[in-house]
Amino acid sequence: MPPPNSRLDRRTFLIRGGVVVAAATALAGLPYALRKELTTETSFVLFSSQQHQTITALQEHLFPKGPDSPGATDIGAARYLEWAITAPETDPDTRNTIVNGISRLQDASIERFDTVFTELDFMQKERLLRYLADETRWGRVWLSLVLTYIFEALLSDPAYGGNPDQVGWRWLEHQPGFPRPPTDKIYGKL
Amino acid sequence: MVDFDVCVVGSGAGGGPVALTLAEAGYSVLVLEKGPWLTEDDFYKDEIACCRRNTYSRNLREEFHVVEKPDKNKAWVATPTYDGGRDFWNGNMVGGSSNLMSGFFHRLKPKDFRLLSEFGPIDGANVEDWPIAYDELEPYYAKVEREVGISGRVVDHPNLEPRSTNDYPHPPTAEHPVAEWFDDLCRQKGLHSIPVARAILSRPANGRSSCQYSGYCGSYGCSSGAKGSSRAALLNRAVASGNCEIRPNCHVYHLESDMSGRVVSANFYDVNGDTQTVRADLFVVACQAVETSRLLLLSRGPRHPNGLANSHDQVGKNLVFSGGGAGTGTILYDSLDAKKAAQLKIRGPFVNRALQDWYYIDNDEMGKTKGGTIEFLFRHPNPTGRAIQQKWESDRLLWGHPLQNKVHRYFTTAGYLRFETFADWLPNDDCNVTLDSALKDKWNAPVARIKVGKHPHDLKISRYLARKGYQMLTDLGADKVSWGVSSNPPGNLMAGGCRFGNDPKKSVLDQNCRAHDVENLYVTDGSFMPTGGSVPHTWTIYANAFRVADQIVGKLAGLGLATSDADGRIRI
Repeated sequence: MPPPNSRLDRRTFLIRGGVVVAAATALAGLPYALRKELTTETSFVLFSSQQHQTITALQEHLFPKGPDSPGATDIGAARYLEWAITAPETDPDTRNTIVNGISRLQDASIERFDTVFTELDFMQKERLLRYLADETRWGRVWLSLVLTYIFEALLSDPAYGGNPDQVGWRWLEHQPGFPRPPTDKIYGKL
Repeated sequence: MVDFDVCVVGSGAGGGPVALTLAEAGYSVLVLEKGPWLTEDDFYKDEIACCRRNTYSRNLREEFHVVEKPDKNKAWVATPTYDGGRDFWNGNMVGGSSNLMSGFFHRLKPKDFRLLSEFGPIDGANVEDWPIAYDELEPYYAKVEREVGISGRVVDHPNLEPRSTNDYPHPPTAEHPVAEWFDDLCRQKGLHSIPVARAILSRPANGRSSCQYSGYCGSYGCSSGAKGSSRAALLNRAVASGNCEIRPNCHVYHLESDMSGRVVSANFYDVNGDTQTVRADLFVVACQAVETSRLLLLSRGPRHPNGLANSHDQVGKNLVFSGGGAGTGTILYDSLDAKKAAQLKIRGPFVNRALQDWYYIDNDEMGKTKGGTIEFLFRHPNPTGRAIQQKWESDRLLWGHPLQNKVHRYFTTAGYLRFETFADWLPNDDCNVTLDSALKDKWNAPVARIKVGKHPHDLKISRYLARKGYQMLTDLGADKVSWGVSSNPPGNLMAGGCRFGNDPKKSVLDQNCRAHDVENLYVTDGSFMPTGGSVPHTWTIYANAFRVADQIVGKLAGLGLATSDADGRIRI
């Protein structure tokens, strides 16, 4: 039997926050404006400065540093996320979902609190995110997806950019397998 | 004029034995494999590459299947796999899915070859006896032990199948201390603990290293070469013979037949996407059950208007999987004494235990019927997938410290033992492979449409076995056991679709796995199986492929094609 984290298809991924399996097809099926955005301005450095600040603040709220636990910044969650959704075979729909979600989070923040997400205090962030997760379908899907990538950053091999110095493995007393992948033999380079 | 004596399409457990046997017999063999040629140098314990991305399967946007299954209202609903949550590619590479198997190896038992005679017909099931008996396959089970390299220890038990040798050629792989817990419990309960044979070398042999016990095996390619994949154990030797060529990244889309009905060539796309053709005297198809049926259905010819070997509309019928259930038990370290807690934390060695006390059942509750196997193992160690599952509390998304505390508890306070049950998936009219009438792959060929109807009898058996597994985990000290049975097919345990038999109207292949109506076409993957037994299929596929290979050698010798250098052969 396959392990519990076997590959998931796009729909399952989006619903359950799993990982995408359907690799990128040509961008031809996307609207021209989005296709242009993905192929020119944002293919390799996906997030704008503001988007980067927003996603970093969100990840730190979802996975905060504690006295005995690493936080999102410690595990390189933002860096890993950008790698994951700009990897060549990542489904454009997934990439689009992440990027659009940041904009929708900002819209919701301004609508409910009249300011951007990074300016909210802890309780305001919590109320906003709980509303999005419990009351909106897109918010539930999007936050689940962001959490999935946080866990990938936490527990994937450091060769992928997350889990620096095996901080996630050490925190969870996880024994990795061996041999571990060199950076030139990771997914996308095999 | 032909290019090779034999062309083998597919390089997994069905193709490897044929390629090796024929190459070593001196025949020229070409193996066409759809996927790349990866080696031990490409396999790492990398969860992202292994299990969270599609490294070893096709791009589902380009090459997919359509799966047809009943919804809650029992209406049949068809969904492409790029949009439906299932993937029926199991390892597209040289050696096929045998690279990624766990290698839990069991033989079928004599009664599995005559299920209809032993247990009678079941309404709604197309059960047939096999056209061969266990005794005819036994020498080849033994051959697989030597050639593939099987480690284990034979112990006597009521359902032990007859053997021509006393024990396995390799001692068991290192055993986890939990195996002893299991043995003790079985003694108390009067059950028969079976050490599970593994297609994993416990000591170096045939130029391959032994297991390194990294704790990651199933779903991963083996970096030491210990796992008995078709590639590591057989194809490397076939190539070394000088008579076998493997061409990776070659997708065969059509087998061309002439006016006499013989197959004359394989048409394929090479690594550049260019069309190529190769001619051979004899063709062997071993693409795994679904794709084998699809290729035959796609290979129409002047004498085969409905596809090769399909004169009686049998290709694709009676597809089977392995029926079953599974459960996971949580054993809290705090519930154990210090010694046992330390034992439970050990990673690397295998539990390697199974029960077959209910392989056959005859009691008031179930009547006389066929049961199955219960396998015991640790939960797969992949951490990311297990962590992700913690983000849900019932239907509520968790985050922050509550989530982190839950994840930390999950990983640091308990060990997780698992059982998996294996029972027959009864062949039936609602489980088959056809060509989809609308959807095509990137090569513009109709994709396989897989209808996955499951007979209710199988669920009843699976539930019975799963309850036994649940009780074992509970008695081993599990604080809680989550378990269930499913009507969803495990895509990595497929067989049937081209069953062998003596009646051409009810089978595709004869008893030697040659197509009834194509004299130079053989099928050697799991497609031949009329019933799948109540164990994983791989050992039987290997054994049967070696058996058929010997038949092919005899046939070629009879044709006067006794050497690889026969005049007139063109090597390319």
